[in-house]
Amino acid sequence: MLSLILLSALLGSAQGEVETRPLDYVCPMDPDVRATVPGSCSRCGMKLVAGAIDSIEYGVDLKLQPSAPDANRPVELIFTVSEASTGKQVRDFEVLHERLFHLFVVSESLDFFLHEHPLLGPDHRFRFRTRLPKAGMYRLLCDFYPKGGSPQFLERTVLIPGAQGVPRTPRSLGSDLSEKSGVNMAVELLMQPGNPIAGMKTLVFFRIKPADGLEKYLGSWSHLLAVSDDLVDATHAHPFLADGGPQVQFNLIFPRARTYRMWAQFQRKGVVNTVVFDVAVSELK
Amino acid sequence: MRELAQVLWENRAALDQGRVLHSRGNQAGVRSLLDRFTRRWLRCLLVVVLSCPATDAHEVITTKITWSRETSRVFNRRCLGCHHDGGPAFDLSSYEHVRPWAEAIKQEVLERRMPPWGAVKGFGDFRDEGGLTEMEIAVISSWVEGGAPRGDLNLLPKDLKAKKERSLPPRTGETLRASGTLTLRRAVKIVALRPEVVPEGASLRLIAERPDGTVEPLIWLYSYASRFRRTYYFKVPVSLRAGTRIRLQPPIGTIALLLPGD
Repeated sequence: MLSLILLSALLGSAQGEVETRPLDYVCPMDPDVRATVPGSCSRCGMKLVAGAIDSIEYGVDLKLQPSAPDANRPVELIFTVSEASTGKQVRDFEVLHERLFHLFVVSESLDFFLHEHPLLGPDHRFRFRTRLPKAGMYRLLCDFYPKGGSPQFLERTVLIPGAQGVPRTPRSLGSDLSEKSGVNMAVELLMQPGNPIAGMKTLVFFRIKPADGLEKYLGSWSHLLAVSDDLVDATHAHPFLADGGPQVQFNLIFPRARTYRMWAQFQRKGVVNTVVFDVAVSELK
Repeated sequence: MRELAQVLWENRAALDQGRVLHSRGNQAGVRSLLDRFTRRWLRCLLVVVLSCPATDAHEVITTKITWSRETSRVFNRRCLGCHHDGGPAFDLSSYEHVRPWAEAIKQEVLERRMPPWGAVKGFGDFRDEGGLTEMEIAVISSWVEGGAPRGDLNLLPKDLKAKKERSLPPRTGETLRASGTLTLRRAVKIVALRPEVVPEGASLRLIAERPDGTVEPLIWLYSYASRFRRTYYFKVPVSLRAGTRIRLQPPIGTIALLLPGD
């Protein structure tokens, strides 16, 4: 009997049963960050929650004001969050990286990028005023955390017509891994493997120059948005390893053999720097 | 190798049960494979191609994401509606069923072939959306890439294997067809869309440009697979006035616009 128990224990560990006992606290946004005691996520700073998280599905309704905005004219984006199964509007939200709502906007041409924070109004809707510079398609990536639920990263689409209707402006990206200059810093990109493969983990290292003065921006040493050139894939990631020193490491899995545009954001000496790299991802052969 | 793995994966149910499920579009490919090998040989090949890494007792676990805690919950929501014992697709309701296929599942999920929703999320608002969110894709791919650990089975969701209840779709009546550009001669409400003729693998968008300048994203089909053709029901019917231009971009194929029935 004892040998059977031992054998089963060995087989269990050989099959990857790494948890010897339940780890009680998990980051709702980075589920591979665990702890046995309450606290904050080492990667993104979010409050850890106890137990396994049963996700609830949510939807985002987007209204534009005016409803037919012209390119490069003011438009207010109004977001209403509701539970998908009941349609009930969500009224309360958790703070997520120091804000209640993070909005990324990317144009189909990939020329336009925005990371801003709509504000919650008394009607429990989020509002943000901006200008969308040209006619075409914009993908809006909405990052929020309903109280009692789990963090969400949901997409919406805005189409801005031109004189001949909504133009298609797809972008054919080449690889661009060259060092980039921000406002008060330069960023060098290194990857392992050097030519990323779809579906395989890629270690992405950013090296900051000069090496001093890096600060957390919205609770994290860096924020990265990676979007495929056809706008089908979008990933918002935080560093896997970072300590305020000159190297910031992300672990990414690029889903498909496409080219991905990455916007990496850092804060140095009070100034936010956004740098852009284009990464060509190969198919596994 | 990857193409072979793909064919084998898509026809796993057929190999298990001696019939073709999930794969009407690939029947010729399956038959030719079956002509060349006996089913037993094919099973052996299947094991060699896809299962070797999964049964490697020395695989390094590099993730804390586990089947019991995270991945099973995604499967519960998104996969088990079809992939359950006795269901239309093979069983993926337990770690033992899923683990040998983990690598292939990751590829299917990352390429957005599975679940076979076929439309890009956030472009049109549909009932019972079946596509994975970016966060769900990240959970599955990180779990597989990290060695697909099982974890503590006490953390499994209580209702694993539960069938998802879906609401009855609304009745539909008259059908309009959009090929290229369709200009509406009267006001209509669209309750659903159904691809009629779309080239295999095509990605296209259908948008509605109203006379008042507002634009409605209707649907964005991605990497179209006719064997998974379905009707997409809007959460809320889309009202369009006379004079609205419905445009297919690029103008290839035909999509049916379903109006309300009695």
